[in-house]
Amino acid sequence: MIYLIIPFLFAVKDLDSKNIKKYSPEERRKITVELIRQKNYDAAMSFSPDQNLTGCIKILKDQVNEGIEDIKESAEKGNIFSLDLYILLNLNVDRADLKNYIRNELSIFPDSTFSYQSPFVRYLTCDPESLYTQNLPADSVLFPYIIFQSGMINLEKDPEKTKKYFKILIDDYPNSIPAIIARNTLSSL
Amino acid sequence: MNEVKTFVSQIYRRKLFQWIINKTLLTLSLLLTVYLFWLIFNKFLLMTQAEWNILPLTLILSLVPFLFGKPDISGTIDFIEKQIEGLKGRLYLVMEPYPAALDSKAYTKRAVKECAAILKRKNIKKLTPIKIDFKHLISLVLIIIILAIFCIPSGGIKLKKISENPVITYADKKIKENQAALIVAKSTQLKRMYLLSNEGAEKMINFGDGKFGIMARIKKSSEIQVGYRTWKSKKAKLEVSPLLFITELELTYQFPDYLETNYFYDTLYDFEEEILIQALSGTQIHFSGVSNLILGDIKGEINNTSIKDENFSGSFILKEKGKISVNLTDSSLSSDYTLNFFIDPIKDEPPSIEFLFPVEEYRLGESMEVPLILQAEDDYALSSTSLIYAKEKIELPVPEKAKFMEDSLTLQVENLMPGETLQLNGIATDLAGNKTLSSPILIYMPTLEEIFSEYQVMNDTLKSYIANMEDREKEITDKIENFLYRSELGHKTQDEINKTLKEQRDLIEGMQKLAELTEEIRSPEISGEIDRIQELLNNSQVKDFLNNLNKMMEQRDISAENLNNLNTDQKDLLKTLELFKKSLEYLKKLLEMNELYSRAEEIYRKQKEITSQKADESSSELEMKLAEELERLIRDMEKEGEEEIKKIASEFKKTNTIEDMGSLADNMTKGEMNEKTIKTIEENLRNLNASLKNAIEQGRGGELTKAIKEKGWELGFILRTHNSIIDMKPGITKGLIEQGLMEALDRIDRELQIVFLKSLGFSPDVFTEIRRAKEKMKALSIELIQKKVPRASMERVNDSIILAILKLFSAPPPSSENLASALRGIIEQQNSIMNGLGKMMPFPLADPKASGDLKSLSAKQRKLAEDLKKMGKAFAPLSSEMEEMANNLERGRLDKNLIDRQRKVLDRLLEAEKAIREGEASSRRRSEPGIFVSPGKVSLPENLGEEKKNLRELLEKRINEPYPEEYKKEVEEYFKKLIE
Repeated sequence: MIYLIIPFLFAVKDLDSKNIKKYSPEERRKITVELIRQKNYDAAMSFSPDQNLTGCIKILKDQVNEGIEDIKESAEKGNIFSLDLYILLNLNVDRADLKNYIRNELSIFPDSTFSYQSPFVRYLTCDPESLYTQNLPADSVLFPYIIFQSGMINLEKDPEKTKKYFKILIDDYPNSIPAIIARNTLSSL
Repeated sequence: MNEVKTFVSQIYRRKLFQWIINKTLLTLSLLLTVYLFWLIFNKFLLMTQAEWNILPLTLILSLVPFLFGKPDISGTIDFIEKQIEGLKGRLYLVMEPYPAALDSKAYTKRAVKECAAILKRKNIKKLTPIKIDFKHLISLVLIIIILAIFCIPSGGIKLKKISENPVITYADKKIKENQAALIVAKSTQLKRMYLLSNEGAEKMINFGDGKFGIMARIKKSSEIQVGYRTWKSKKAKLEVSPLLFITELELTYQFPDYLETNYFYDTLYDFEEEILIQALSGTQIHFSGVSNLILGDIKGEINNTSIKDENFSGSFILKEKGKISVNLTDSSLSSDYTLNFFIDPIKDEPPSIEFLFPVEEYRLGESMEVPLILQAEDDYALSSTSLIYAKEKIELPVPEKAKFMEDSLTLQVENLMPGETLQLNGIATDLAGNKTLSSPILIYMPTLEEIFSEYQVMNDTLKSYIANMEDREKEITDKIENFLYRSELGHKTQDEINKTLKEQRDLIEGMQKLAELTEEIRSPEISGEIDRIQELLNNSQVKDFLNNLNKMMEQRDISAENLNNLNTDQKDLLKTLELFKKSLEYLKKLLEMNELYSRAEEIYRKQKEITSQKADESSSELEMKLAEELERLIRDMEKEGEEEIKKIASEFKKTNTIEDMGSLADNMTKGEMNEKTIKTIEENLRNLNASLKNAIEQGRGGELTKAIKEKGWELGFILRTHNSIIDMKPGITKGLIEQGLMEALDRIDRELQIVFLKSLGFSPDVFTEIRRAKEKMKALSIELIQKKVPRASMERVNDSIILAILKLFSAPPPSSENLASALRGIIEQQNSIMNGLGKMMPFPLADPKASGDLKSLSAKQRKLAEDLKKMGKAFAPLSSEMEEMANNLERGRLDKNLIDRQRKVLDRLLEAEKAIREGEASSRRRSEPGIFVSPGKVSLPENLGEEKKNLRELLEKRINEPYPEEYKKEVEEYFKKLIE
């Protein structure tokens, strides 16, 4: 009888670690995001399939300095979101904004009452045309970028609208960086 | 008689006693095993109330052995008969109930007598010894040990009551067939959980903290539950949408009109998702089909799309080889299907066109005419031919539907300047619209080099001309200075001034002309001078000066006031120069602070590298050295003039990080890595870096920090925009956007150079990456107009911009001190490898241990080569040599030759370290600010090390900017000191 018990003990031991390996990176990502949604950061970290997500989790856990290192490495590998996050970190963007920017990217939307303090995060997350119609101060550094982006999103479906935005950009902000691109593009529209 | 009976009954009792012992041991074993089973069952699988209730019943089972094998009298008699051969059935005559009524009493008496005599001699204890069965005892002892170790300490058997059922906290409600659904559940009490669906049970993953998850592939819509044994959650509904597919597809081929052929129909019933379409380029394909579900939407790069119920249709024209995707979505928007048409157009071959005369190039003569003979041909028919040059186009006549043509004509060329070249191309177009561009003919005017009979003469002439101009400029400046010191400006003086100013204007105009004329000359010496003149002429202050001059000349208003204005301009120039000098002082301070910061960053990086290794004597040694390096850094910070830096150093000392690193190194020698200490050290080093970075930003001033951030944001914008056009269709718009992005990047590059020069706050490698991106974008902006470029080409631009941004926010590269210290580390390791190899000579492979050591040394050698490679291009040859040595070691080729090579590498490393150290010492000796000496003619040293190349270029450029001659040498000297 004793000889039956020993294999039984082996049989019932936990096999979860093997189960994790059988998931594809996309599936692990989905699980990680769900765990982040539930604020179960430790479990999410063990599931995270890439450095971008690991860095995001660390930032959400307030381990920002450690998170930056992961984000930087992920950006080096060509991840544009990581790079945007890295820029925002260097622009000393408000922490709450940063966290919600991450949540927004992971489709974990902040509650409806939340509004971003940083114009940079607002620019990266919101629809440019609606930002354009909002009452932003005219001297906002980001205004030329918002106008340009409003033009770009209409480039294929409504070139006339793009033309209109680009003309406003060139007239109102002729020396801005987006105006250089708009000026070049306008001749083909 | 009684003696015999007594004997038998004694034997019987002993056997009964032995039976009870055996059965008791067995029952006890069974009892404990059943108990153990329930303990394990309860621990791992949990028990329900019903199972708990039947537990006592199962214990009764352990009494079953007592039902079997109880000894009796007849068995005992058998046993005695077998054991004592002399009895030979006598006992059966004696012991009841075996004697029969017919048995002779005499025999019985005799048997009793004989039995008594035989049994008297027998020892009952020897005949039936009482013993404990070893195998029963062993089982019992083992079970007791298991119970004592594993189960009893954890509280013995006790029902873990599950008070609540698991809950599904998240579950995908709708998925497509073959797609995995995410289900997450929660239960704080259950240790394992299964997903229960129509397709059976699947184990979920335990995330800890009472949470479980699974990505389940469920084929049909069903109700799902999670749970374990009897504890189950409420049911949730999971809808699996059926896959959309096409049952029938009809294709109609409408060939180009000029072929004058009928339509072609093709109906497909059994086909893959990918359909190959091979037809003449320009053919229009109409497709219509039927799907299994009612359709809701159709999308793709197609025209004339329509959907009705299960039917759909659309069309496209075959142009280039590629793929056209048609996305169909069902009316519930839950399933979609992508139909891929792989287009392989059969091309109507483009026409050919070539110039028979002239071939490749033509040198224009005085007549400025070019005689041309042109030939064009097509496989079907030509529609037109033309010539293009600059922005002009000349149409040539072509007979209708001609397959071949040849034409001769004379072209008149105008307005071509010496050295200019005109590119002429012929274009032929066929009926299908295919165009072919001929090889170009280069029509050129002879260059200035050719106009002058000998190039050297031209070179010398220009040099003397420039020298002459410089002398004249000095004379004019002196004259203006003289006029300013005169008390009155009489008519005569005014005429003189007029003349002088005219001379100055002529001189500047002469310079402009010279600059234009010599643009084509490729001599680096001359073009360097010309660049300098161009920069001088483009300087806004010189432009203002010239404007004022022209104004005075035009209005003939040479008043003292206007001359004073000119003098004010001069004073402004001097003020600028003073400010510039001050900024140099500030730059020196920044350089020193940056130096400290980059050293601190390097220490942090090394710390992480060491702790990622195995703890042993070698890593302990590295840790000790790093602690010493950190001590040196803190000492240098304390010597620093800035109070803020001193304060950071003093605060850092309070953290006892250096001592912690010492104790960590001690532990490492024992093979221990104290995670807590490592975490504290890393945290302290991170804080040190952050404080230094903050101090630098404050020292740099808010404006510059803001400017760096702004440029980072702008680069990010360029990156995002560039990334967003990757999937855009090729065409003029895409090409122009790319060009615009390149121009924007160019401006950021220029503005960033100024920020860099003012702040020295980031790595100059940023410019290398930006230039790389610009070069690629320049090539792409042309390609994107004409064709689709590989995604990888566009992503390479992204990579360069990403690196530029990362480097923009990183510390500047380490200075010579760090370089020397890193090199010292490498030398020490190289020395240790050499010593290790020396000990193995001459036969390393004979001993397996030596073979293992050799492997470890070769790995060390390879790592060292990588470290050296990271230190700059200058070390690339040495690094390659090290890699080669590592290869040899891996192959087991250890001989005298290899040791000699090792020695040579070591010598070269020592030389390099010495050179760096000497440079560092001389730089320190001479880097006192504010001392201006006037040595003779100075030139910037060439060998400044790779890491300062960009800085040198920028500073050299700044040196070349205009400022009064008397300050030139001092400023050049100051720059020279600064970058040494």
